[in-house]
Amino acid sequence: MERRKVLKNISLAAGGLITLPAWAQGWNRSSLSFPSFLTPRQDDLLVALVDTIIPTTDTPGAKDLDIHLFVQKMITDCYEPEVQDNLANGLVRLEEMAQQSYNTSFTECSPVQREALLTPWVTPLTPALPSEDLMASEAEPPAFFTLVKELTIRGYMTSEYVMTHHTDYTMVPGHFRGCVPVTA
Amino acid sequence: MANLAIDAAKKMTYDAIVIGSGISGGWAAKELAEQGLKTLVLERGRDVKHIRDYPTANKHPWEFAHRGEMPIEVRQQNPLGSRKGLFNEATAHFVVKDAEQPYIQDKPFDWTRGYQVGGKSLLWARQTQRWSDFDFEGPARDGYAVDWPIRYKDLAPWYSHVEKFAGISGNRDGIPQLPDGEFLPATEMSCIDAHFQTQIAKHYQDRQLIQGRCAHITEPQPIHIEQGRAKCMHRTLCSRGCPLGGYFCSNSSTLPWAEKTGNLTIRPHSVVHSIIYSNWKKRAVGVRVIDAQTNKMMKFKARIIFVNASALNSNLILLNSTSHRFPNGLGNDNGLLGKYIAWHNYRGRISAEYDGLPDYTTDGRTPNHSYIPRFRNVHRQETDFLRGYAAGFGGGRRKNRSEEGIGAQLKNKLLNPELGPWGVTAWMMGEVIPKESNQVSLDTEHIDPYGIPQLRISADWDENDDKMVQDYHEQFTEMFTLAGFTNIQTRDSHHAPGSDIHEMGGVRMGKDPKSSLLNEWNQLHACRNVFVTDGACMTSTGTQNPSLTYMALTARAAYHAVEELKKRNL
Repeated sequence: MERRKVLKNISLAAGGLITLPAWAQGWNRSSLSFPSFLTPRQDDLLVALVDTIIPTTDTPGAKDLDIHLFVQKMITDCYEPEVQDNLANGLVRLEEMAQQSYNTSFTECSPVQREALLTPWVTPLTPALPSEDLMASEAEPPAFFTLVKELTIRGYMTSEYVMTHHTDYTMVPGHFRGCVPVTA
Repeated sequence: MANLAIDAAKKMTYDAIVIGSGISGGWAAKELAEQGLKTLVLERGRDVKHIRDYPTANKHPWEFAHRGEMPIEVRQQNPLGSRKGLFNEATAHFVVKDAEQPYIQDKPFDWTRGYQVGGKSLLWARQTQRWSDFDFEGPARDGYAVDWPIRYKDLAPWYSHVEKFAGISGNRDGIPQLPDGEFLPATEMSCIDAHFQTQIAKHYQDRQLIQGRCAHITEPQPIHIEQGRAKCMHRTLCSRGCPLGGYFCSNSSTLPWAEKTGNLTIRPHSVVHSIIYSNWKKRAVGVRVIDAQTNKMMKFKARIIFVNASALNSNLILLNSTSHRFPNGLGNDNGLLGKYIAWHNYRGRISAEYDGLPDYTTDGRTPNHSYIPRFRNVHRQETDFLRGYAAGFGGGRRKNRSEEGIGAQLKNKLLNPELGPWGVTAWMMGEVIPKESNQVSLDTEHIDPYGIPQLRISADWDENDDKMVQDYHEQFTEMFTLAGFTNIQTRDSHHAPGSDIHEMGGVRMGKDPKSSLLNEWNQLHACRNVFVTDGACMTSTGTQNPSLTYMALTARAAYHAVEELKKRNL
């Protein structure tokens, strides 16, 4: 009796989802076709950037999980408008760096080349700079890169794929045990 | 035609009106409707039906468009709302938007409100501790505030009454300053909590750590199953609304129970303007309501009125209920209405790490935590500040996730976090002394969107609160050190009052009409058919989470109201 009531309640709650306010709607590739503040070219650069931060290995990376769309969605809705310009300009700058260092587009660079371009921003103390002219003044990573990295990690770690395959996420644990042995 | 007019008048006339549908209003509705009174519950916000109106209850983290974060446009429209922890994609629909009810802050005050059917009972911390006579006798002992007109024995049977129905889990700990209740089995304690419990017992005679007592059903009784509520499944997504009814709230419990009697009418979108007093009948005869959807004023009549609008709003309504007899607000003959506001002091926090128990961790999630009952100034005044504090305590092991680097290396670190040491936190819940200077009043110039004067709030910390935070940090640093905790960090948030949420007083109970507003049954001394049983009635604040006491006071007052009606005294 009790169980039946519970099941009924849960299914009722699922039915309640149709009353969701617009901002609470779930998103997927199709619902994310919002007007982009990036040009198609900049969009490609962002895809390559998130793919460099969390690449495809034997498991899906940020690009495979559409994290670039999440990054754009966040910057469109949750940040001041100037952050959008900052990202667009930053991507252009990244492209210039690739052209100067490797004579090709950032999107055409090999994974090793892309990581090398970003390394000074990741570990600012590294002395080997790919281009003295462009990078000499960079004591700290540019804000756009820090933000994209932060959002990429957030989007990746809270993605359905990672939460269901790699972290111990469960919506209904059903219990709490206060003292269990650590398993390796 | 004439008959239609009579029908219309009937629809506007009830035996009882309850203003507010939160934790205490829900109880008033249940008790009065069960006793056969045709009861109208007025709620200023929208309807929230159990389950149907919990839109985010079953959403996974990845189903939120911004993974919880609110869009900048909404944040900019709600600078006050944005300060609330609940202002995220999972629960923002239960946060009052700034434009709904502007108010004036003489001093910064982060007023926390819940305007929907169920009020803040959907959002509360669900900790439920009884008061003891050490709390009721505080004001009489040190002279701050007035003596309570009741003692523990007056409330004890009503605590039992509400506990059995609401479903409270806990242990019978036998602590004089925290009386035992009608408990369902306690939730499980973690090994770090058990370690701290043992260490405290070893080093102190006057201090205990117990498992928190909380309004979660751990073992449903027939009364809970009859309500359609089930065992808590440890989702810990409580403030989205619980589809299982695993914790107690008006929406899953008291309100549907009252509705089943056929005696209840709930009217959402009903902003109460004032209570109508009849000079001729010498009692309150009804309330004026602004319909939030049409902006039209309506009047509803009743023989008794329960004011459960949440502490500060109950003050606002009474202050705005002026008449020839009561030019300064209903029942306000002594000029004390709105004064002696107090709350709880949550400023102090202490956290640390523990390197012991490396081979153990926890599994699942708990909606509860441990609790350290008040140990300061219990039997006698022993410090240079008045009253005391309780504390919540919780701990667990975090997985340390490195976000260094980029590429495959970063990815590998993200997916393979290292299990860190035990982390522990304890937060204080201090008693704030009611003072006349902490008060609310009606502003004479500014009105809200419904034409009601804006509430002017003037409340601030004082030296007693500062000293209490300092003592809390000293005592807990010592307790943490003795327990072998390391990397101990104390923090005084110095936040503005209001985000502590537990505001109380302004319409305090007392023995003497010269120094209080309400009698021992929560009736206005000067207008006996008006009962105030939410936080506004509190003479002092204790250190316990207050909701359980509001519930017990409400059920007790409702019982008395019905008795008095039967005797034709009201």
